[in-house]
Amino acid sequence: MCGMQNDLKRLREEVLGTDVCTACGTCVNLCPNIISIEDRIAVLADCQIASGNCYRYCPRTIPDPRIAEALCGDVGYGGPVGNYSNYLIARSRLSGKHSFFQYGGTVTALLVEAMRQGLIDYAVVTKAVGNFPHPAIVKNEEEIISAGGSKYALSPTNKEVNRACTAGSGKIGVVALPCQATGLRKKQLQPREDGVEKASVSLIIGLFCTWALSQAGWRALLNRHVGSRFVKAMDIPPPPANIMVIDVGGERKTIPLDEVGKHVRPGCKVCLDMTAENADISIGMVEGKAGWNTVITRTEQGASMLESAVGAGIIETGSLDQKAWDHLREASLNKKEQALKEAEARAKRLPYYERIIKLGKKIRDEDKNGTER
Amino acid sequence: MELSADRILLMGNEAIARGALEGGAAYATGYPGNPSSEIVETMFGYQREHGIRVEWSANEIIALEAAAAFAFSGLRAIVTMKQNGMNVASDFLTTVSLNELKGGLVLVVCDDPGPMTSTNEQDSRHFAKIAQVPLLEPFTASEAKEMMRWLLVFSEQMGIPCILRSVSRLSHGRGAVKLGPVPSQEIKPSFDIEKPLVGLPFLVTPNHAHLLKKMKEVQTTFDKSPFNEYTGPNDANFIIMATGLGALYAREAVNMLHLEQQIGILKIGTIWPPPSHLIRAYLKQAKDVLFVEEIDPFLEDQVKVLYAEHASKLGAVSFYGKNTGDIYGPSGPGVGEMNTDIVLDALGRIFNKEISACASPYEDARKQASILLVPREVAFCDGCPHRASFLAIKAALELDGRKGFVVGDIGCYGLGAGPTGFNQIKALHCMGSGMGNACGFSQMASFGFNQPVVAVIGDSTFFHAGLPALINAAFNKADGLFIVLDNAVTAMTGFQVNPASPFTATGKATRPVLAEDIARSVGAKITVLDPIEDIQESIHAVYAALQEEGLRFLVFRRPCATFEKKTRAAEEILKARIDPESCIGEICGCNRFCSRVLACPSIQYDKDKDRAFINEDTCNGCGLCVQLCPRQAISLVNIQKEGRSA
Repeated sequence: MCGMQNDLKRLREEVLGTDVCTACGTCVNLCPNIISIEDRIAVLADCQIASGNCYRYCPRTIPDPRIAEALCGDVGYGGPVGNYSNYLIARSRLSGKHSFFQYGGTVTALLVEAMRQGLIDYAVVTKAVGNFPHPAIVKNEEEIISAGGSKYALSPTNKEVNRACTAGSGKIGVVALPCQATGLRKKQLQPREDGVEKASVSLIIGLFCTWALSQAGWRALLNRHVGSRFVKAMDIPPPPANIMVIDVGGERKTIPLDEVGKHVRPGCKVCLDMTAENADISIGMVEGKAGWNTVITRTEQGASMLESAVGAGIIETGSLDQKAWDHLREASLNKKEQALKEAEARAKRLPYYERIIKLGKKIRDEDKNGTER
Repeated sequence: MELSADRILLMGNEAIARGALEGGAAYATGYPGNPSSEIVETMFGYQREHGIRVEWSANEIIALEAAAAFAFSGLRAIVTMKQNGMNVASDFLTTVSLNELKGGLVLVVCDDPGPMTSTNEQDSRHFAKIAQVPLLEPFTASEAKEMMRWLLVFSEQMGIPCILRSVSRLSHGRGAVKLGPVPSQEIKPSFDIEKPLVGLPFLVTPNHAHLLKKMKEVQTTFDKSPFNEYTGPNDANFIIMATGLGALYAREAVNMLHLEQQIGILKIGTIWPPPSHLIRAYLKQAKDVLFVEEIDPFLEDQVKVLYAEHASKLGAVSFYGKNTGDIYGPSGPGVGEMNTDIVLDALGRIFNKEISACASPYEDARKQASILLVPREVAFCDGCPHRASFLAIKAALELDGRKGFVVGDIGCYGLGAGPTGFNQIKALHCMGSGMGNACGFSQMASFGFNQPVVAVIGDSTFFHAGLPALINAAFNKADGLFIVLDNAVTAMTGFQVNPASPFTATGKATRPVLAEDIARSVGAKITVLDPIEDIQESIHAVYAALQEEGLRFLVFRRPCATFEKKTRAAEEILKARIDPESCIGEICGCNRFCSRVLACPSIQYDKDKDRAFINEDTCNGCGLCVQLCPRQAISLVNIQKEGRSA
């Protein structure tokens, strides 16, 4: 074993071989050495490159100080819900083919608008193949619409983004979980210097996320409760329901959340970021208002895309009432609190734990003192 | 020795084959294995002209059993194998020796001391003692031919199977051999149903007694055998007793030390039963005896037993051997290959002579020659399907993440234990051992064992020794993943055909036996694919198999690239080519994955140009690197077409 430190070795020691990896896929397909199947990621051989993109882009590694200012979530300070320009509610007004979407269809409509405006040439999304999520490239409205709906198991979407970046040219939109949005943002802020990538990410639509299941865990739950039947939709109703609801072609199956929780990826439990703080625009559900999404606009890019969609009449918006906003902030803070408790409980000296404990405490204390910016 | 039309230069193994021809062998078979393979291969050349039946058998015991049938029926037959094969064949050998043979039967075993290609350095001479059958050991190619010829006749005369023992350096060294006449095959074979050859328990004791009686007669013959020869002063009281090549090493060492007037050399060719009267005569003359033989102190032990039996009539003798620690190479006594230097060292110590000066011309020549050798890693050939198979297995095991591992056995794919196979094989012993080990690993779940185990086995080895393990696994409900690495030939020993081959050893088209057909019949879950065609698919296939339970059987099938190169139609000769514009060298994040990790010998890295390039002379155009280059800088070109259009 060569004693020299290098980034791949660090990535294995600090992320891949630990309980902090979320299988976001950011390190996969940057080179032939890191591979993945389902939500499992593996390294084929040692690497002698001292400073590698795999480590730089990983959402679980400490960002370079030169880009740290531009990041929130797990990697930079952004208050309880990250930096934002506006929050509101929205829903799709897309006419024509009606497809399944989870809440308000805002993600689908935004992608459609981004493609119509030429902001993106295609998008990387997560598609269900059978009952399992797979990263997929969608190139037209029809494909975008067919990919709607939440998936609760992890899929390394960013590996497909990496593949798309080297395989072709153009601008890519990505529908990303918070960890994935962070990885993509880190990459965007420090583009590859080898000239390999001809395409780049120009729009990150973030999804709210409190946790995701490992694919093996999801398979175990399906085997126990659903068998080989096709899952049409699934949802987790707000507390105090404490269940996961699975719609198997008209029949409703409920699974206690305690059982579901056993299959949550350990990396999700130490994530500070519920609202995809590093995305251009973040989308989630609205409690108590079915058929609508909560939308947080964060960057100029995200805000103008929403504006454009509203102008084109494919998205309808409304204001998010203060109570709902406060509730969202509280939920987000709660996620941070849980993560930092978990990180402390694991009592392992990993750079990621040290950072989120510091960040989490800072946000909590400032929130208590009412000094939120 | 002058060469002429009837005195030609032959490799030891070719000489043995010639001896079989001159000894009237009607049948030759065996299982390929270094250093024995060339004997049967040479016999193939005699097949048509001399009407001999020659074939490769699925394993050594079947070869011996098939050959015995010829001997049961009055024809002569030979069987060849390497030392590991002796263990496989021994079950039959130790029982057939109790019966009376009608025709001559000789088993040729080639030991591999200081192994070049073996998993042990077993001394097969012990089997002669176990089975109580005569064993000869030649010291030159010429004597190898003569012993082979003589043994076939002698075996028939005594009705006992005989063994001829060779070692790597004799089998592969060359020497002048005087050719003798080839007898014509005139015997019509028949099996005498009035004389059944059955080893029933009540017959064993009388048969065993009969065998031992015959072995006494053999001993009498051996006492007068010309294969034993004394050279040196008649009154020498320092005697070297040597067998096989040891006799040559002894002669050379004695000459180099100018001790010809003090040392006599008793070269013994009839190893079992030892020529006891002859040996006793020299023990009477000797005050000091040094033993020079390959591997174990076999002769040494026998001589000491003889000495003990007759001590009262013999004078005091000092013995210098391996047991006494007086003769040894760099790794110690009884380990590694014998050579002249070792004998020189031993004599130097005993005679208190400075010997380094004698060896130095050899050492200088060796040093000069070594400059010409390019250091090369032990690697799978260019385009070898095993490289992709092991990459897929490694990737799948890494992705699986349960500390799974590979157990394997003997064949080219055994190199999977080294860097060329990404160090994947973690246990490797004998033919079929991986599948057998996997049967056991899979039965430890109730004790808390939870690492997935992958057994790899080659096509030839699967038919040789994997079948019982497969059936055992199915019957005992083993929960394992067996991967057959089917390259359609027994590649490591020189591309011999085997049941997976589409043609027989004589080139006749045959229906290859498909491993998966057999596995299907015992209820295994089957996957068959080309490991290189789509490496991602190969990874997925192994990964998917790892996630399943029960008996899983995956066949990675793709012909051996080196063999294909020899036989492939000239229409299409594919070579990989790297576009130096697309390859970006060190700045590519791949850290030279193609030349460093994949490490196909054809892919090289030009440090000065900072680019990878393909050696098109050696590339077999498999296309694995094409799929893995992150810059898509590598493509396959058909140079045959290129050549025509140019």
